[in-house]
Amino acid sequence: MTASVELRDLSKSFGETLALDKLSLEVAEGSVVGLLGPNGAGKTTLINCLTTLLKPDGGTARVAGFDLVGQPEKVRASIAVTGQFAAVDETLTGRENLVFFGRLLKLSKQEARDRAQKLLERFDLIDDADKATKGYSGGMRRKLDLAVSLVVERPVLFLDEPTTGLDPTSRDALWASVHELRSTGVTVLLTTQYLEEADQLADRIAVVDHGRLIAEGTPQELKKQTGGGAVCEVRIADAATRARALTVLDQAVEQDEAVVVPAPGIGTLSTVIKALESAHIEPDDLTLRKPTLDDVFRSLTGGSR
Amino acid sequence: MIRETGVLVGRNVRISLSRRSFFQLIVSPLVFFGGFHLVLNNLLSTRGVDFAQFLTPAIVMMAMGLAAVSTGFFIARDRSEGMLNRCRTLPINGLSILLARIATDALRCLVPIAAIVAVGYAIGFRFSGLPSAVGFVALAVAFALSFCLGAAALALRSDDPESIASALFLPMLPLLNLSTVFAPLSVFPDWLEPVIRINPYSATVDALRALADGQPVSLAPPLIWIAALWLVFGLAVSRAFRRA
Repeated sequence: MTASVELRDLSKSFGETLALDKLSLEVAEGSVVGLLGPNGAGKTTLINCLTTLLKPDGGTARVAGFDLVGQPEKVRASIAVTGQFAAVDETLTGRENLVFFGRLLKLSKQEARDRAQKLLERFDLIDDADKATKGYSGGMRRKLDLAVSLVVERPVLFLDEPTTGLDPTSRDALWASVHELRSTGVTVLLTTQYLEEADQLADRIAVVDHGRLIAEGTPQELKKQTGGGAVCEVRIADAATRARALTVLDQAVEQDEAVVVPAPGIGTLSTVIKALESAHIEPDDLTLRKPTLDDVFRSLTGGSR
Repeated sequence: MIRETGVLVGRNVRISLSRRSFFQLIVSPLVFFGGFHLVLNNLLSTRGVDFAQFLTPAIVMMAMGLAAVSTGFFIARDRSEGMLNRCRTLPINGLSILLARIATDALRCLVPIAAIVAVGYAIGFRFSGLPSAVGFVALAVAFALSFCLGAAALALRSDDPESIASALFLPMLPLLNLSTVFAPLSVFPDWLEPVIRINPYSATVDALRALADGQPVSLAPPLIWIAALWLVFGLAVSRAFRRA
């Protein structure tokens, strides 16, 4: 399979801050790759570089087969972007936004109108199509934003934190749209802070932190690293006791006022309880839960964060 | 690129048709007109100045200075809404975005000019002929655009739309006051005269008045100013645009 997005040692710094530190990544054609990382990990910088908004300082990148630095116009003609902030014009109606971008992308008046109508129907915005987007809810704006990205179909789509700040219902609707897009063969690179989102949408996940790629694989592969999809969290408020717990529990990492242990199976729970009992540690709380992004990070970076 | 610019101008104009814009473009210069009329009418008439002929270009100058504020506002808005970045990821010529902004601002300038001249005509302002009217409008718009470019450069660099407005208002007040816009040269003390003369507002308003009156015009001072400002701010805009 050929790579639709391919970066080698891509670097970008802002003054002293290294936002991208020799990042290499491949996104196979027709696949969905989730770029997972905390705020400030360099996700948005990467998207801004790949969408020609920022010029990288070093390294090379190809998007849809075109060189990012050498052929930016060709890259722009192959991509669509939905950013962190729904980039639609507030004064214009939903329909006017779609027609405007259609016209800007060289559709005829009639083509732009037809396309707008189709997208409004597809994204369930038809009832509010002729209202100013000022009055749209956050979810409606994101949907319109995504629709604007699809006015002209492009082989590569970038989604920068598409669901940040959305309520669960809107989020599910947006996820459904991404699933639908995947089935049409579009290559998607999306960034997210939520493990669940990457898990839901992505074929492969790339974990970035401090501008570096720290792990890459399928969601299953990554979750295995945190113990087969679950963690056991032992809450201990007292710092000294917590430090003792860290020494008696296998693979334990400290996380705020708790100690977290990877839990590949239910057996972990009894192992943990036995270990705590024999060390005479009384936890404030003990839970078995799904790993969060924090857990993935802590296990990937050895708890250094 | 011409097509893209056209589509962008269409959208800019569509946004400009809001009620707030109408207020800014027509009502506020006319309120100033009325205010200055009350204050200055007697004062200037006793000094033997043809009031309507003197004040109309002055109000036009003031409105032209204000045009830059809306340029800054709209660019800051497009930036904060993400529209600017979105447009920059599209396969269109980036220059067309700036050209469209400037073209829209030129069109927007025509609205207050028309309103002010209409009111001016009611109180006795007259163009000496059609060429004089065309020259008057062209010079006023060219002057306005030089400051629009400056505002664009500022708005592309700053992350704070509110500070842009104040940064634009601030230099405007001394420039307006220390010029022949609202007072003839003779009322200023002698030692201030060189400052008044060199002020681009003075150079431009003097040429506007001469154009309206059909008198011999020294276009060189305002045109040199305008060309210099276009050059400096134009370079600043293209640099800022590549970085923004």
